[in-house]
Amino acid sequence: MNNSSSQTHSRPFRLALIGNPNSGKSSVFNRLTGLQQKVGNFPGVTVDKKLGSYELSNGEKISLIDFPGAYSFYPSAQDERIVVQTLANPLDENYPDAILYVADFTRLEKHLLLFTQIKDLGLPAILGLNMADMAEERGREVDTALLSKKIDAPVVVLSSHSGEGFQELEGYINQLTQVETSHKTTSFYRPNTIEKRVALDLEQAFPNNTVYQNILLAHHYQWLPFLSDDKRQLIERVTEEHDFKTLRHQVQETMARFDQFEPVAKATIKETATDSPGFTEKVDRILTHKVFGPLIFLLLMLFVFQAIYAWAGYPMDGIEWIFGQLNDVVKAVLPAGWLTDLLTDGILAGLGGVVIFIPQIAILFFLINLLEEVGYMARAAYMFDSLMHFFGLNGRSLVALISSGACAIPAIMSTRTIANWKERLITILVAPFISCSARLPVYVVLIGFVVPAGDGDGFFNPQGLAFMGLYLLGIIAALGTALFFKYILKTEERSTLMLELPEYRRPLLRNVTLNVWDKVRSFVIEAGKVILVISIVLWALASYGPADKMAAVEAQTATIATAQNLDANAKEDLEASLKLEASYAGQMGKYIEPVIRPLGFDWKMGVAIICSFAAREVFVGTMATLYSVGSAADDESGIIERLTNERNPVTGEQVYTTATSASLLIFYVFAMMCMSTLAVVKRETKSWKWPIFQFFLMTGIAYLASFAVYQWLA
Amino acid sequence: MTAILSSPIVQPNAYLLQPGEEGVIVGFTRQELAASLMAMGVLPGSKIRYVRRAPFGGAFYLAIDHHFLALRQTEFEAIVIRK
Repeated sequence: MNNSSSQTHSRPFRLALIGNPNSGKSSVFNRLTGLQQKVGNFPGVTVDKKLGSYELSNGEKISLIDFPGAYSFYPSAQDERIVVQTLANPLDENYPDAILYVADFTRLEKHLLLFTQIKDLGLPAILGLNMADMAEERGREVDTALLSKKIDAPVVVLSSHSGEGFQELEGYINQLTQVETSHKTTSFYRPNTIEKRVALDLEQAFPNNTVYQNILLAHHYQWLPFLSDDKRQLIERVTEEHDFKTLRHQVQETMARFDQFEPVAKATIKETATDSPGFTEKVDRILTHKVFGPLIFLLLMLFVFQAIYAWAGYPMDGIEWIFGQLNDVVKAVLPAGWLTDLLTDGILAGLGGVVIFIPQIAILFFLINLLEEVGYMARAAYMFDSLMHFFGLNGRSLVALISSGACAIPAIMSTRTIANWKERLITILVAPFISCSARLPVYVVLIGFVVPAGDGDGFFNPQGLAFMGLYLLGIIAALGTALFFKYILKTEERSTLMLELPEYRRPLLRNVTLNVWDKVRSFVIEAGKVILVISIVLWALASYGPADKMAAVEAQTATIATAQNLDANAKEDLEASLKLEASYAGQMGKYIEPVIRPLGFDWKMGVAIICSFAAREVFVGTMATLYSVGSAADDESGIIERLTNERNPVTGEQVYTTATSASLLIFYVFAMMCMSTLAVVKRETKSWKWPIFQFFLMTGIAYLASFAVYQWLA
Repeated sequence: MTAILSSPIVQPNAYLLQPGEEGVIVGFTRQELAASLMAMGVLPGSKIRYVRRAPFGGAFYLAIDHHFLALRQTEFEAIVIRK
């Protein structure tokens, strides 16, 4: 071996991880890259391309790309398309130098289809047989030397649990980076006459393509994004001329490939396990039982939400305490002035509002991810498919709707696995109705004003139930609108469900924690940026106002103070509250007050609602900023206390009455108040039509519902 | 090769299986479903066993050569079997 070729790479060697869904590909990726990975702009379970870097023992760094799971080059869902789209185009920016193909060892006979297709493109590949531990339990053995010879690629047995085989894998990766890639195509498939003719006719236009690449173009020219219109027309002409029928050729090719590699796999694998029903089937007798199945699912979900409510409390108290202390320290160390105010009332108050979410988000993502890792989520999708279908959705929508309980953004992205466009669109449109973690703090703060705290016996406290009620309300809204869309949206497309029910497996803590880390980090960074900026802007808007009006406040305060004979503290409070009212923020809130008055909201809530349109999580931060600016007395008191103490300056009545708080809660359940979600919806539906529609629909429902609730309670 | 796309009148489809019953796949009635089903390992020659129906009706829990798959009725019906 020489290492001359490694210098010819001007960029790091690029290795793509490809494999069927449920092959444990992400576990291999996580094992190789650890924390050295990043996702695109938004988090999601391998839905988006994950990039990672891996250092070989010789110090060379290579880059890894984790592709979405796919069964073949003939994708049925959106996220599978990216595989063929990238590999059919050598000019693609993500076109890899080599492939690490991950197959489930326990079902190797079925997992090699895509591998043989990749080999026919002439890409060098390593075959990783994952889940060695499960294969071993079953007494499954493979003759790697023989298999390697037959498929013309290195074969390595891997276990992401124990780390078995990863050293050997590194050796093979190392070899790939050293040797010039050979564009020798192994023949797993002999094209038939029509395919050959089509490929030949395309050769002139695509001189560098292999025969199989040209056949793929003939199959997919209608949607492949890298083709120019000229080329598209050319391919269309050629396929018509030769009467190339894509469906028929797909079936024939798939069949021919299985006929080739199934005997190979069977000849190299020995299995000693008996034929008795396995663990998975026994467990599923209960978990997917007609009665117990749905019951267990509901209990699990109840547990998840109770867990969030119960467990997140302690770290949240801790975080609140820390920010209170920081606030005090800053006030003690720095001299009083606008800078100190900005730091404490603006930045610290805003940051606290971001950090306080972390426990809840982490717990929710942890539990949902755990269920996904174990293999339970696929069962949930299977059990509720018909129910979802009734509402115009798909079994897979359930997973998206549940993830929406954490954040609508990854949920909307995860809908790419839904093949039917109408079902996917409806899922996208209704997912934001499900209460996301950003609404949690709003609920937490406001529920106390509507429902009394329980007697503290833990599991079924009334606030917890009210909490669950709000979630139910979101679910009802989601399903109701879905039903509505089912009848108004028209489609010719068939709706299908082909869902693999993977074997139950021990969850890999590394996968779960990396996922949680990913999501928490992107929340803190993405949402945090917005929240921080808004907090600062808000602080400024709430602290400053038109000069004449602010000056008038001072005179006004003096008059009232003398007239009512106020002491210094009361005078200061009065001045602060009048100043806030005169500030720019106050003006904005007042401007929209007539619109929100029927809902029971005052101008301060108006300011919070305006800011919430940037992101809901801003609400509590905004309230914290607004009310800390307004109160001269004690800054370290929690937001709930501040809201309780909030009085109408004229009548002296409590502002946060049951009616107002309930109305505000309902508004937050339904309203579309997340710019990031709208941006993702635009990206996923490729049009502004849907996010705009979604915005007006959700906010309209919110307005009417809040109006009804306030008028009824008040 | 096109023989795997057979007519449902000639041979029974998998939908006629009772829960717990088993058959061998011989082909498909619908071309547009065949390729995706095959890519997922539902192949002519594979054993197919109908395990149970989903709680609210709808999807079918199937075992294809010891691996599990959920299909809706349309897909299930498209599979032609030999008992």
